[in-house]
Amino acid sequence: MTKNLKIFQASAGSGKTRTLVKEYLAIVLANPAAYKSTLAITFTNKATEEMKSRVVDYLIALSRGNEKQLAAELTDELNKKGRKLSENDIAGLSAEVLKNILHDYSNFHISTIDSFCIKVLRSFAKELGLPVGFDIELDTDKVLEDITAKLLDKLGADEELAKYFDDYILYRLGENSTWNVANDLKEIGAEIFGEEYWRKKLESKDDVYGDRNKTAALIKEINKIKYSFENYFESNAKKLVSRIDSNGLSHNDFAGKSRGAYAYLQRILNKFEYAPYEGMRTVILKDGDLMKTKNPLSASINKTVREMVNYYDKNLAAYITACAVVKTIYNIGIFSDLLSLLEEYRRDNRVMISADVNNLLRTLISDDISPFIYEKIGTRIRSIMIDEFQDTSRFQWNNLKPLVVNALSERNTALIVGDVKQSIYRWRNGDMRLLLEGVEKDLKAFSEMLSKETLKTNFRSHKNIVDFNNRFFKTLIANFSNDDDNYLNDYLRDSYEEQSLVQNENGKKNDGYVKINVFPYDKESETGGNLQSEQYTREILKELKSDGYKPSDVMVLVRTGSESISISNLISSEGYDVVSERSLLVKSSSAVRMLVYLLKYISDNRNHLAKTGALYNYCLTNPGKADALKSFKSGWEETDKMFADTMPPGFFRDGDKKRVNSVLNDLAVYDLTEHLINIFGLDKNADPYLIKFLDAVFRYSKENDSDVTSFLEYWKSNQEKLSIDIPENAGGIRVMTIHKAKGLQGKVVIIPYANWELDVNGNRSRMWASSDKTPFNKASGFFVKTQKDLSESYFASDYITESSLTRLDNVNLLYVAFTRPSERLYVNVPVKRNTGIANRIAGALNSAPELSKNFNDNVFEFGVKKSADELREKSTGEYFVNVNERNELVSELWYRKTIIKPAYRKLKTEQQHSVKINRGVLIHELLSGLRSANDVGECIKSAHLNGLITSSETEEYKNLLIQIVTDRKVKEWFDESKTVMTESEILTKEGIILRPDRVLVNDSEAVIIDYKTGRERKEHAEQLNEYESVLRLMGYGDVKKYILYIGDYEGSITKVREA
Amino acid sequence: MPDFIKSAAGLVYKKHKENLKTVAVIFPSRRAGLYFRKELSALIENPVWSPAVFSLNDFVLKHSELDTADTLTLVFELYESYSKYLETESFDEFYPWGEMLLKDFDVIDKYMVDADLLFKSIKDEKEIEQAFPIEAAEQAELFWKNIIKLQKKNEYKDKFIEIWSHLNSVYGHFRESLLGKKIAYEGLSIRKLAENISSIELPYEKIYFAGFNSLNKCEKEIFLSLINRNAAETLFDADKYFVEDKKQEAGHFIRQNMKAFKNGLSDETSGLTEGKKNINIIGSSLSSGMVKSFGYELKKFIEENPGAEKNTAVILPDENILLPALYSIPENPKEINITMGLPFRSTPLFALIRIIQKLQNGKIYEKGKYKYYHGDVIRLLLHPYIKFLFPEQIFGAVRKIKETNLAYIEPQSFLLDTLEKGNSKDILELAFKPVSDVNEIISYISGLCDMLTLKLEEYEGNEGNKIFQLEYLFFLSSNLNRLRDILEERNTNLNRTTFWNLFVQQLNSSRIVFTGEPLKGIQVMGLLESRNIKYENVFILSMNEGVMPAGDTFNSYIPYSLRKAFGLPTFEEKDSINAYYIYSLISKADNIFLFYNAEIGSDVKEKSRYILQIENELKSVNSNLSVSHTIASYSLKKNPDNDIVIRKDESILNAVKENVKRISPSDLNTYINCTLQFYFRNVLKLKPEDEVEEILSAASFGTVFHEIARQLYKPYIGKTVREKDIDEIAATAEIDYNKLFEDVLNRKEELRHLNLTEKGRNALYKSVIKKLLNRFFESEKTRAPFKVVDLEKWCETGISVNRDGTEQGINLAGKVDRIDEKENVFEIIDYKTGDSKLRAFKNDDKFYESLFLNPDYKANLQTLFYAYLISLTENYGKVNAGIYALKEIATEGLQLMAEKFFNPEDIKLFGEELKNKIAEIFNPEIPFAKTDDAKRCEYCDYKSICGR
Ligand code: SF4
Repeated sequence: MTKNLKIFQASAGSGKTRTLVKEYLAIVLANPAAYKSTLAITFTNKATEEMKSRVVDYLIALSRGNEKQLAAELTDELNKKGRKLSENDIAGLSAEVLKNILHDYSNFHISTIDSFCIKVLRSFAKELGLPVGFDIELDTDKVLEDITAKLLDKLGADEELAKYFDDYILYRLGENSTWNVANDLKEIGAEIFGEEYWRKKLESKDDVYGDRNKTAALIKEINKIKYSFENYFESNAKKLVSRIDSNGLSHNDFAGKSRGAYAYLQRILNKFEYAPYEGMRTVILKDGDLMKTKNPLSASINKTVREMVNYYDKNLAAYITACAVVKTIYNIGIFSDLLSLLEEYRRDNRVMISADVNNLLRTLISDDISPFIYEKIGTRIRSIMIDEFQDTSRFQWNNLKPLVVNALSERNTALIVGDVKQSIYRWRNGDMRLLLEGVEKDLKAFSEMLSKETLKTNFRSHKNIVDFNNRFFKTLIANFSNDDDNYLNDYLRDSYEEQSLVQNENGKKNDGYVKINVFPYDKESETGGNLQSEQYTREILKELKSDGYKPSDVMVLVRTGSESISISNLISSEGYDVVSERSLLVKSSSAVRMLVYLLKYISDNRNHLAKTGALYNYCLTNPGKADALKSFKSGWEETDKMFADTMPPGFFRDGDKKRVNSVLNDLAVYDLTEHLINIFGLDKNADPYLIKFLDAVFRYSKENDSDVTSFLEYWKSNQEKLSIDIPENAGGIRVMTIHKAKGLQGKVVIIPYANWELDVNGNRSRMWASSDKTPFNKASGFFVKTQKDLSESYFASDYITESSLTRLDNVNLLYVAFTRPSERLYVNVPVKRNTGIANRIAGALNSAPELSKNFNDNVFEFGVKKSADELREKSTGEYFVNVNERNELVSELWYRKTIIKPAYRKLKTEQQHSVKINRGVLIHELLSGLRSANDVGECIKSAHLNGLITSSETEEYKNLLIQIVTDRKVKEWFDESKTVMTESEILTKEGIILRPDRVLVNDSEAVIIDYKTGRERKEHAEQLNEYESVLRLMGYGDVKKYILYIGDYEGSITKVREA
Repeated sequence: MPDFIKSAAGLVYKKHKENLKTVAVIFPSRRAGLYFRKELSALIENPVWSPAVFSLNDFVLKHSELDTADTLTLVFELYESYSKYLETESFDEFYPWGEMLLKDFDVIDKYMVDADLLFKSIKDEKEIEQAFPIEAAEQAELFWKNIIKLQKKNEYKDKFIEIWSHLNSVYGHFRESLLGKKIAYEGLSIRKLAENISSIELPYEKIYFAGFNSLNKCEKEIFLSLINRNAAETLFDADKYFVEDKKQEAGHFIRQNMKAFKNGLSDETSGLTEGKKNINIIGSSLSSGMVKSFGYELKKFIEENPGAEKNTAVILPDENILLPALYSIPENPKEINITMGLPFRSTPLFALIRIIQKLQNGKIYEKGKYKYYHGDVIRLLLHPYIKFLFPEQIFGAVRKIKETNLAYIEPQSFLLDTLEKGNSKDILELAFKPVSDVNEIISYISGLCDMLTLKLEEYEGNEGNKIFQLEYLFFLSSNLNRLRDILEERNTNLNRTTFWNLFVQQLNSSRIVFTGEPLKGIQVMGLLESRNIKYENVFILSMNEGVMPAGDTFNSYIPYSLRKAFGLPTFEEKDSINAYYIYSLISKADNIFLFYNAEIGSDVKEKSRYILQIENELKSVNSNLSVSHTIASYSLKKNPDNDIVIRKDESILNAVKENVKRISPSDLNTYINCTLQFYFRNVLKLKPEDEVEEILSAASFGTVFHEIARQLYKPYIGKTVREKDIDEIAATAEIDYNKLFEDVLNRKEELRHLNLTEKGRNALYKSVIKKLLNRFFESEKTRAPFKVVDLEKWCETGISVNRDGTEQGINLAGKVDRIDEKENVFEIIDYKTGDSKLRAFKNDDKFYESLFLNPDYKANLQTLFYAYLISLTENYGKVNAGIYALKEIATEGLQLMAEKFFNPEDIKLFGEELKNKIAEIFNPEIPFAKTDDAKRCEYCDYKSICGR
């Protein structure tokens, strides 16, 4: 049985793409037409592009007999498939395949999962009842903003909904949470795009959501559980305490004293904590007396407290569950309203929201659907490859599964590549469990075709880094198993199995250095970072400098945006350039900020802030113009004056520095921006920020509206998102979050704050949970904070899964971070609490064989430090694409020099408002199309069809024409007594083409008629003379010339003149 | 380099010198014809009547008895036919779908397909055999096999078959009704022509079909029959390279044609195989980047080759970048000629239409008047077409709207009356005319069009631009007329939404075609327009997959394999046509510049396949070819450092004294948050742009609560309030709540807009406040009894702070929400609606330090501030101060800062600290500067000055 189902475990740096491409080549070389029927699915557009170009590049190389290594691998790959091939055959085949692909490129099916799904969706639009030819909306926030606002606006009208919200608010006020529900609604509403929500929804049979009254009822029920529990304890406690007090008893009269029954009861009343002390339990267990001193009360106390303890044990789970649920259930309760509004949004705007493409597709998919899909999209896929599988979501997989099954059942290749250890996109629905177990389960039927492989060699990092990671993570994982909460480690253990974790270093790179500082987390620094670790970071930077590393060699990895900010500040304060998400924001360019302020100023010339801002940023971008700080000189007059003096020529109206050049008042936003670029000389010092801004303006006005006001609205809500790609030529130290760093690498990697949390954190993260216990089984699912106590609730199992996955996420982050560097890895580990990744790292370093010995007084060192130059590789091969840097761009006013023949018809006012078009021009047009009096009708008809005249006008113009062609003076021109040469042109050898309006010829005689509108001019006659002379050259002896004058607005003959 | 048109002209001249006007030369495009005549005239001695030169379209139009109708009419017709057999949605929803079907029907006729067979739908295996003619069999059968494969009942399959099985009837019905009206779509009329071409008399001795590449079945028929009658000849624009390389898609059709017809022009050109050319491939990120690189290269090129623009073409395969491209054409050349459509979408006029659409659909009817949504009004006023007429007045109006803070505006009284009469006012009167039914709307829009046209004609500024604006307007009004006509003729009455959607859809997809002077200046055109014509230098933009070529995106309802089966074109044919255009363009040119966007993104694909082909194949075929590939990027300059430090020199200091005469807690807070912010806000008085507040903001929410609370407590000033009193207050609140609420809104100008019922959120907040009040009363009861001393008390008093010896006088001021007396301690109370934390008072340095450094302590600061202020103004004796944090009111109730009451010493001490802090403001040594903590910038209005 040939192994057609291949699953590759591709650890960090193991040349995943190469493998993918190799497998692809194996398929297409085996059959040079197979590219048409092979679908490779990558995750990002960039990845798609990279894979395509890799395939092409390899094919080129192979066809030229290069890439021997690969050629060899392919030959025996193919031999396995039973194709005996020599390396020359490979070259030949490659050439053939290359040719095929280059000339049938549209059938070269490598695409992102999204664009593939969208393609399918499009081809089924009609059947799915989606708007045909819909657009794709990428901005989910925008959509949410819109639909939540709509929902809230319904409150005015929709009584029932309003009532529902009243309860909601009341509840919130009870919880001391803010009265402003809009934000929650948006935040939690985002879940309608999440898969967890839908999965719960789909799994559940009956679901009250969607029926607001039932939902409300359920909420009541759940609240009741909560309050009755609390009341039970509080009332009992009250009773007993008062009696105890009145008997003047004290803690000492109770077994366990301050941890005895009395203390317990008081605790209930003061702290609202209901959990009995362990001491009490033991007493109760062996039927002891809860009181030390004999006392008449004891009987009843013992009885009641026993009851309470039992009650507690019996109802705790329900209570916790209820508490967890009520926080968000109000929001989830109205998801169905949101969904219908979403529906509406899609229809009204004819868009699909990219976030719910997979969900929509889900409805279409059934396990035998593939052939139908292939026919609809017009591609019959045989083999399929999926990359980055650990980040694939359930729904995505379910949508792809039929295709995979189809491939396998037809004995074609299905290939899956991924690495559980690098799955860090769970918050984007990515579900690594698929790779871990799901796929194999789902494809059990094909298990005998399955071959699992691990790509063992690490091509990225130097030996010592590979060794370190091997040992480090082995121990790290092992240590977990010794914990009490070991039950949370199953996923970890499976994901970090030795055979998939341990990598071979690739022989060529025998160096590499790791340094880790472990230290207690002390006080925060000004910038919110951590002093000690910042101290270390400074030292590291010095060290790197002296070892000859360039800033661009260094990559600093952080967990959060705020960490990124504080570390960036630090680095730049050390005098290095920083390339960070913030520094890449378009708004960080003062030129851009100037432009925005100018746009604002032009929309409101009394906006003093805009004026000042424009002025200041202008001075900043044009040093030498004026001292920027002067813009803030006290007093508006000064600013006004400075503004007037400083702004460049062309900005103001000539001789009036109070008002802007009128040109700037009548432009759409894109035109305006170009004008400003031109006026403010930005064309002389352009940079990527300016280009990106211009591009943003362009895109916005292309896809939305082109007026300044709405662009400024857009800018307001998007300036935090618009940023430039890290340019190739960026010189600085790269600071980025680990998530962003996935798939990237750097010679040196610094991790300044390796102390993120390890386990679920109730304050931040939420999860979807469900239970089969009443009443919680009445709703499909609940969205609850992931707090520890859930482990005792009805949601325990959901909770445990969530926590295990969270733990895995956070370890994976560490793995991804540690595997980025090729030459050096620096880590600062501020140990804060005894939970968290930090002291896990410390622990591992302490206990790892081979490593622990390098870990002395909190500093760990491993491997050898070599200077950057020693490690620098000889650049291989010449770089045929040359790079050209520039900072000039062209921004010119085109319309001044654009030649067009205006088609519009002059208008003239009669009295206010009503206007009349210039009939003359039109009549002229009509006449010149007219052969003879007989085809007036035709002529009018086509004019009407071309939208020249409206049906209401047809009669009018028909009469005008008839009136003209039957006019005594001219009618013989139209009676076909002579040959008519309409539309005929005369060529002269000077290359001039003459188009007289009408020429009548009869052997050697010719009559020229020219139609003119408006007043009589002498040029008119001159033109005719020119015609005449030409006609004479053409051999017409006797030439007559007439001008037919047509009234501008009347459209009737005003004069016939012989010229 | 070869020049097809020139050779064609040569051939025609050679054969027909004597009597050129008896021949007709037919090109794929009119444009080629123009160049043809030019070439021809270069050959003649004396003036001559030109041969008839036109496009194939014109030819068909001339000789078919059917008129080609416009798409809208056709879709209307189709809509009627369709709804006879299948269910339909509203017309505007149907439109795109109808358009697609129309295309499909069109191609069916162009390729003379037997619709019966094509639209046959198969239920099960048995039927498949013999269902299809042999030539179609294989593909079609496989298709239906695959469909039938779905054993399970599948609704989508059923839906597909449902539609598919009716399309033939729809097609039939549609065709008949068109023929009945003697109108047609292209396919239909050419099919008719092809069917009886043999019987058609042509007034020409000879017809030359020149420069054709892809021919549909009808065209082939027509050509053949004319050729057989010896009435026609074909001339092909073919290059060795793609004729001989059988896999080169560019030659796909030419190779076929060369088999089917003979090429009147002796043999293929060799521009690609031997021509000496430079091809420069340039990648840059973002389409703006690409367009600007184009400008840069063009500039360089023209500088190096003066006058070259005459033979230069700029090809824009993506019409959307026309405007950006135009802006990137350097000062030289001095003349530009555009031969392509400008998407109407990208004109300001389109924006205007969308605005008035929103304006009219968003209007509300209140108290017998129509009111418009402020956002739309502002956008309308600021729209170029309105604004340019009288900017100053517009700015005034807009500011007024924002200041008076009205969500909905009644134009007459609010706007129009304030404008002085005159030519600018009438347009607004027109624009704000409320219209509802379709006819009204139509005349409303066309009215606006005409008026704008007039205004523009009179307008002096911005000459060059004007011509284009007028074009746009003309285009719009003729479109509108057409639409109106069609509606009238078919007397269909659409409802308002359908009309708007339809109208906007129409405009959205339409382009304005400029007619220019094709033989002058630099030529800007789409790829199509470049057919057959020779340019020495070509600049081609958007060389990315997805554009060059469009690739595997084909909108048709006829599945791929059926298209194949019946010989209908697929995206593959589309691609090869595209390839033909670009290669025949290159074959004629000397210098070629190819630009692509190198930043891959959601809608940007990799560089075009043609680039790969050129680099890997053409290069090796043609040894005279030099190819360069450049990545053009913009250099990343360090941002100028904008560290803002305002040193207090003489003038600044004076300004500070001038403007800071009074300090309120919030002023102080600003100063503590960021000294620079304080400078901007309190000294420079830079006001942030004001915006109309649609829904209750946190601030107004507070105000409303304050006001209502005050109203309720007013009667009790000076009295002692017991629990039962509070019950009464609560009762009043319960009963009069609506009235109270309304009153507040009416009293407070800035809140007036909020009693708009249709703004649901306000309704919500209204009830929130009510609930808050109830909670509030609950916790009030727990405090009772107490005496209400004063409400909303404004306190202000002068103090003097000492800076370097000299005294500086300044007022402390602020409004105290409420003062109670309880167990003869005076409690200064402030209501807080937002998040706010009050820490217990501690008399230690740490506390004071954070008080004056850390904005999180603002509640404490304010409270103490008031305590101190009161201690100066009144002599209350024992004083305590605190807040009602309404957010925590459920559990917290009134939070007081001191255990029982403040020790006067502490207050004094605080006073001293306060003075020191204030003195700092006047201290010349301490400049105003940015805060280090970027988090404090989050809500600052001056972010984009500071670049935070
Ligand atoms: S942006 Fe930040 S630094 Fe600038 S003024 Fe506002 S608070 Fe101060």
